[in-house]
Amino acid sequence: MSDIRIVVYSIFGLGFGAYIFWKGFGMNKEIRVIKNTPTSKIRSMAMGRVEIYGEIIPAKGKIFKSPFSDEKCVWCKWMVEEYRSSGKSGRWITIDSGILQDHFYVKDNTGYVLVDPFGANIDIQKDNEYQSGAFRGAIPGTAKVFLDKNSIKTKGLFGFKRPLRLREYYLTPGDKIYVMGYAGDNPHIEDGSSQENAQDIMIQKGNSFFYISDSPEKEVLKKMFWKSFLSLYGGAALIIVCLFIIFAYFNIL
Amino acid sequence: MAIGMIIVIGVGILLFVMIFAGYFIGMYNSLIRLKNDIDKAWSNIDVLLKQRSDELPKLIASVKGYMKHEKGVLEGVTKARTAFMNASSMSQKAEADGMISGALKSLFAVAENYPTLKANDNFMQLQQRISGLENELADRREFYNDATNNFNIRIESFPDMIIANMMSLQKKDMFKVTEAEKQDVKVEF
Repeated sequence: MSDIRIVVYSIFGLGFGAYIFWKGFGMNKEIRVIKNTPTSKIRSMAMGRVEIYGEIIPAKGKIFKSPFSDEKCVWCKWMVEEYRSSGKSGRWITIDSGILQDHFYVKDNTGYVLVDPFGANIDIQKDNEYQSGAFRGAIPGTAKVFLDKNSIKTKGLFGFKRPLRLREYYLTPGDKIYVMGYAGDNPHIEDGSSQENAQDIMIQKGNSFFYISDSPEKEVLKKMFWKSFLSLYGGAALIIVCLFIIFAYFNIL
Repeated sequence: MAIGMIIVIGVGILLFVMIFAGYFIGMYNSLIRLKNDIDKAWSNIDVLLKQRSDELPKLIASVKGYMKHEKGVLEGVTKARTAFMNASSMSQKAEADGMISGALKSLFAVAENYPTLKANDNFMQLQQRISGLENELADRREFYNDATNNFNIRIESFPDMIIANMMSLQKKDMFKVTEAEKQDVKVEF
């Protein structure tokens, strides 16, 4: 690699290091908010920032089918990636992606509440991954129909299978989820017409962060701690290394 | 030492000072937030206490005609409500809350002896509403105690205790169940 390319990469690295360093502080703040907020029972939840843990119940008529595995879900994120080689190396490039989402309910042993997932940081495990292409296996029929419908070709030059990777993440009815968000007025119900307190409320994106995960609080905190630790210290280390390389290039070390 | 090296070392030191300072600023802010969260949790209990207290005169009015011989029970509810209305501090309100819960328990238990009262829609609705409020109150007391416990643990743990001492933060009291509430209600048939 030429020297000037290393310097250009280092300048980008410097910017990226500063960005993840800054993000690390933000994550630290989120960890503290989660640690400080006790889990509310849905029945007695008050307006404002809330943390709940419960089971997903679909709202009437608000159920989707995941595009690749045809699984019933209330939220789904999908992406189609293609492997593109350049010289000896190569990487996966996203060629299409999308999110299917609408309101759903979360239920605990005291009641249920409506959740509007728009604007949430949804942190869930990958549910399915399929690959097509030479030596990469085959994709299921449902996925093929979906790709055809979206005009994504599964065959490349000379009729060879195109190297594709399909990934989907989804939340299905019955999944247990952790939600940290803002409990505000439920716009889908008239004020005072509900029998229970929780029916008047909808969890949505407020002025604090909105986070949904399929892991319990302890796991969420553990994951966030490592992310924040790596962002802070990794970002700082990247800044120092990049500065070192830039100064070394200009012989001012 | 060349200027470049001095800058690299300087930036390194600055970043670690930022992490260190950020940690303490975050700790300070989070203690403030915890303290305010406890106050908010208490206000949320207070709202329900007020709602329950507002339902009591309606409840007494609906049972008075049926429970003429249960003057003591009705007086207990009225007395407890008056104690709540006169309470100003958190501990006084918590005490009055216990009195009201105890008095209501007795009233609902005695109501079992009056089938005509049990058949009264108005009474049944009020009983349901008050029982719902009691359940919500129990949840919110638990939430308040969780928030208070978080706060108490934080201000006694290292290194948070350094900031907590500088801010003169004191341990907060939990919401305790009164002896009257713990006792079973005796119903004589």
